[in-house]
Amino acid sequence: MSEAERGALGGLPATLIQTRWNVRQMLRGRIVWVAAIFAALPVAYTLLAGMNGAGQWSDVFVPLVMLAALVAPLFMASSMAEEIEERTYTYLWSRPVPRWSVVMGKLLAAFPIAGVLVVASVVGCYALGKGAQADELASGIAAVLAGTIAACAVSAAFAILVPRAGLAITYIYLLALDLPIGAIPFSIRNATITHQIRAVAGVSGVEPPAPLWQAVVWLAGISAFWLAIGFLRLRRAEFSSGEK
Amino acid sequence: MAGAVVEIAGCSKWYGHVLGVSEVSWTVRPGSVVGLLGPNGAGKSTLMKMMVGLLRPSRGRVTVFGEQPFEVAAARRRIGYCPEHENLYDELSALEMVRYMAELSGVARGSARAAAERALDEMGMKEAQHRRLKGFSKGMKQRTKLAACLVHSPELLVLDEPLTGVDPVARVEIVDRIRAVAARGVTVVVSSHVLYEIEAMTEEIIVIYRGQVLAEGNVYAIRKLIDKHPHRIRVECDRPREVGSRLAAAEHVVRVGFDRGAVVLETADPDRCYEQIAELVVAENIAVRGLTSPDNNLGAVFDYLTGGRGGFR
Repeated sequence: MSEAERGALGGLPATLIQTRWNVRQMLRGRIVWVAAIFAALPVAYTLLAGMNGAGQWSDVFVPLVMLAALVAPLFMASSMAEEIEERTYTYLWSRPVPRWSVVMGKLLAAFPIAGVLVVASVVGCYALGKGAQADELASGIAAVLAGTIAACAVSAAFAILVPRAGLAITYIYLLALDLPIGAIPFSIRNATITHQIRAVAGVSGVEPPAPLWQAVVWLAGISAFWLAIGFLRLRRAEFSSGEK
Repeated sequence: MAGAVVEIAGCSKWYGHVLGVSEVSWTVRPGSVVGLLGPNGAGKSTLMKMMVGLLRPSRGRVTVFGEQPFEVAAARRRIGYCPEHENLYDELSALEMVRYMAELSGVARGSARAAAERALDEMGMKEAQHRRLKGFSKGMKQRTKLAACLVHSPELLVLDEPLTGVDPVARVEIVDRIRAVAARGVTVVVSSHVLYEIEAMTEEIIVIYRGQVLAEGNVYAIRKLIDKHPHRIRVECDRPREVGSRLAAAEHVVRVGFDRGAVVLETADPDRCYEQIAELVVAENIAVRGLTSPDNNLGAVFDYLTGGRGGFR
């Protein structure tokens, strides 16, 4: 007899329930306002660059890539870390739900909220920037959305591994490791989120450009890798705070 | 034991090199109310977390309704767990939080709201159900937690220190609610470090100390043992010297001490002592700010019970 037949909630229903309630919590928290400020920064940058005679799409896209790296972990890492640090996970894991559904529920909640903010920023930059075509806007949106999912996956893993410093480590990883490595002209950059975002957007600087499917596969692989690390840790985690 | 709701067999739990519980074995019968008594750090929470699937035993086996709750998610559907900590989802209202927990326990979305309203009403939280949890008092948080663990009509309730930090009025109400739930045939395991709290809910208790079960059985037999040891009562009032000098003459009072605006009495007969304090306070119109039985007193009692032998049954 399966778990579901014996009364456990299946992975998908459990994920969707948690997604719905996580969206509600994230939208009511302060983080959404911090994220909105982050989202406004590239638009402000494009505006200032345009006033100084610059503001080409290929130039403003770099701040957008960084934005995707900053906004998604704000929601994902803080929500996951708070769950562990505040011990509210005890309410979830004492229920008949698979543990991985807690991560997926948060990821599916963080993605649309972070995604809306990032897309709004892309559209703002497109409107104020110079020299971009309509198809570049579409590929730019697709790129930052794919990057948002990957950044969510990375931040979930770090928040599970190091709850107290999950957000900080995610930022260090993405901005101090992923971003510089993604910019160097060696094949190792394929393993970075920021390079693959540029590749999806068609501004990677690689000639001839790699096919789109390749970048999508890389991003899916990077996301799956980090999520797998998070799930593995979570499967047997006990998160004792030392109290007996 | 056939038909046991909870079966713990030779169970030990280590946190690294620190021992949480050691070689614990006991069973909980269906429909019983069992009190887990022990000082802070005794291993009560560890045992409870193993029962609800939050911790995995390092050695031995914990089964609930015949299944291991850490391994089998389905086993947790029949359990309602109220953790010791008071953290809740602050951005949600009480009703939303309880609905969330109902849905996660398998209550259909359409019925979850009604079930949550019912559970909150049962815990006396109807008026505050739409308020955000962020501003709740400790008592209100405890009631919300209890509603959340009752909302899916579990067959086993595991309540970890449900009366901690609750004011005396709320304490009586919560005890009444728990007793009402138990009267419906729900099996209840409840922990506390205060004997009087456990006594108010059940006669069947297990005394746990330093990760080991020291004694189990009827509360009166265990209380008799505990009461042999001097019991400390701290009375915070406006005239501690007067209270101390008046009660020092009582034959059951073995020692009187003073501590920052309070008198600390050591007595061999706590019931008689509480009675005499009440009589004195009323007769002399003394303003009492607090009346407590310090927790470390219980630790001393357990040391006394073990008699340095490390085990007592």
